[in-house]
Amino acid sequence: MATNELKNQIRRFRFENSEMTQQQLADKTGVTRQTILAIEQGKYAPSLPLAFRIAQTFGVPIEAVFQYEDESAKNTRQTDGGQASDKNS
Amino acid sequence: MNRTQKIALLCIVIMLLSLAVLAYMVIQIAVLKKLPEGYVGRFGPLIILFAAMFLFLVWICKRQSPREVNEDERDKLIENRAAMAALVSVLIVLPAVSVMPRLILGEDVCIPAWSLPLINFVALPIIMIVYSTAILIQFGRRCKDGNK
Repeated sequence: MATNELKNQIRRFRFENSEMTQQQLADKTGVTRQTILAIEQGKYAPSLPLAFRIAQTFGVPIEAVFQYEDESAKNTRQTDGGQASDKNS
Repeated sequence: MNRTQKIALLCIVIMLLSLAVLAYMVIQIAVLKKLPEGYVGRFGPLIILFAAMFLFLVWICKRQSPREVNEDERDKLIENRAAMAALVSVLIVLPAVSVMPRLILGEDVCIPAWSLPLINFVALPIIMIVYSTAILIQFGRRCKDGNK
């Protein structure tokens, strides 16, 4: 079973944007502070509209804030890369 | 603690207090066969219940920020899951409550027909407690699956 990981840079962007508090970000994006906290900690995957609103608040593209990492795909790539390098050698 | 969590906590406390008041009344009327003397004995538990409700309502109305929203997408997702848990609990609680008179009063006792619908009033607080507890548990645990 694939294990998916949605990483985010919200904390970094908050501090880069004049140390914005979680409550300020929550007010700007129309959610509660608890939701921002859950997203930051990776406990909750936001909907696409909310992810876009967060990115717009920081003035950056969505992929700068959220990164998707599929662990199984990553492992497959690593295995394939290993086999390819074995063949080359 | 956001508004949804506060309401869930309020619901648990009020429902537990309601069950306690109900048990107090049943013991007074059915077991001791007399009403308590004085206003404090008769209305004290109800006054405590209403005072608790008032204090909780004041607490709920207090906001963390003037622009704070009442509810967002995560709250709705959590409420939907809690509603499913409450629905499942109906299937367990209602039959369980239905056999309570037999367990409490015995097999050969007759009860008036009008008392049967009252059984639902015992099931309702239990189901509400399940719903509110499910909300509070979900706020405390990891839920990575978004809108699934």
